[in-house]
Amino acid sequence: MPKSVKVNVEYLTRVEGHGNIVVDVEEGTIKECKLEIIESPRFFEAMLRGRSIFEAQHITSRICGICSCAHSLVSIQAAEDALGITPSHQTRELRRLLLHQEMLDSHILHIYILVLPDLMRVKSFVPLLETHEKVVRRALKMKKCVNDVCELIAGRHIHPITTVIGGFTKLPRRHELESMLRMLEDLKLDVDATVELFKGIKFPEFERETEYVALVRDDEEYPLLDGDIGSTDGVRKHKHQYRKITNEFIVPHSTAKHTRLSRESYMVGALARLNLNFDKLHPRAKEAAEALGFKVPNHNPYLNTVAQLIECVHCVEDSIAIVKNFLENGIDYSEEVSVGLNERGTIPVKAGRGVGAVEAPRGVLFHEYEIDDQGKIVGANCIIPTNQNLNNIEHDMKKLIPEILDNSEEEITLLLEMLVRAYDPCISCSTHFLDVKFVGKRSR
Amino acid sequence: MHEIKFVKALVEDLVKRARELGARRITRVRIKMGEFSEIDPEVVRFYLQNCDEKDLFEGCGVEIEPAQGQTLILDSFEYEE
Repeated sequence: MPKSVKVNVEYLTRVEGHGNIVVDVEEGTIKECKLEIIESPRFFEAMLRGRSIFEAQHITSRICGICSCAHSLVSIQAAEDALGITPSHQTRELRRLLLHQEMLDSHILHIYILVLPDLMRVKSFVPLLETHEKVVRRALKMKKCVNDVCELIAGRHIHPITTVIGGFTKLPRRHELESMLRMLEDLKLDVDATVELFKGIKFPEFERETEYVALVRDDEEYPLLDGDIGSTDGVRKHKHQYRKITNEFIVPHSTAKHTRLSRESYMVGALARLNLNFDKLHPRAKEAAEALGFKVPNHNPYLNTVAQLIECVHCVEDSIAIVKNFLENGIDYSEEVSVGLNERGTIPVKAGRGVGAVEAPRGVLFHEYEIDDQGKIVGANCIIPTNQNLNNIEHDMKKLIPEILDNSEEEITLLLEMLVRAYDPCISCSTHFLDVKFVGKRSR
Repeated sequence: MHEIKFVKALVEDLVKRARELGARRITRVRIKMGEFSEIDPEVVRFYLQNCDEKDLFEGCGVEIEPAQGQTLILDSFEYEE
């Protein structure tokens, strides 16, 4: 006869973490230290198969609501590579402007909403509403500003609609450019105020030199939209050879693949970009770096947040320069394109393979598509920045834990959470509730 | 896409409780699930049939009672020793 047991336990169903940090330390020695990723795979690459290359950017932008512009742009770049299309200078400048807005949007979100509460020693952004109302209002205003600029360029601030293979379906009118300039000039003041705020904030001291990977270019442009792939260990490869950069491999405790290059792990993102391309930043961004006490080479992953703030200064300055240039020299509206699914065959299609490599806010992002002679996708591969950072985060944790073992479990938990959050992983919004499981912290 | 974490937590808790009671087999599980829980009941059934402890759930009946909001409650279970 079965026995019956009444339990009545509630499990919260809000998103509270798809990542677990598991730490097991015995007599000062790490027995286990891993970042478990238990998020279910989403099979976007399979969804793309059989679809037209001309709709790939609309599908892949759904991979991420924060990085939807980067996914769109890398998707278009890969498609144009496969089709043999070179975008015009005007298109490239508008795409750079769009990517800058996403970089600003994502970095502002991370700096203010996810990292600042840690540094202010509160649990989340919400308590700051009472203690730092001006700061909260500034953060929300900054986000609204970049979202509005993004909407003027791409039709809406997430999942851009006007950016397609060959260019833009609608180009911004003069009054829209003037509106963008006003908003960006205003944003510049708020970015400066953010730099002032962070001047007085101390980050945890920790160093682990690793390999840093980002896009690189031979000209003076700070590479975000395109370029070769370079590393601080001297590797440089064309984007077509991206698989020789990522060298993906599977680990049992993560549904996301890990990557490595010249060493056991590598890092992508703002800190990697600054370690490789600091000289190409806008002069005001370099001034901000000096004011924040940030120097390259920099091996403290906690300072990825500071690197993001420095990039915010660069992106707002470069955005203003791009918009001013359009206002001075005008926009060629004959470049507006109407492609759709290329039903009219305005773009010649041939079978081929193309690769895109774009710097998303969290690091270099790759898309690769193989298409048939009808423009149907027969194979796709997408490698996102967070995947590339997971292995590096684990190696950071393995070096950090012995250095902080004398702290309380609560302090160790916070420092580990802050480390993971510093990478701004796509599981970032959940890592405020990231489970830290102490399997054991047994002392001598 | 986030549901696996919650289902895993619920099943792990259920297995722990059943093992502590000396259960050889869980014959019935009753779960209350809110309309906004964003969890597909089929995921729970699939998980029980394919988890590491699937032998424990062989022939197990799963009752899912609709509830309000985002509720996810392990209400009760029946087992054999």
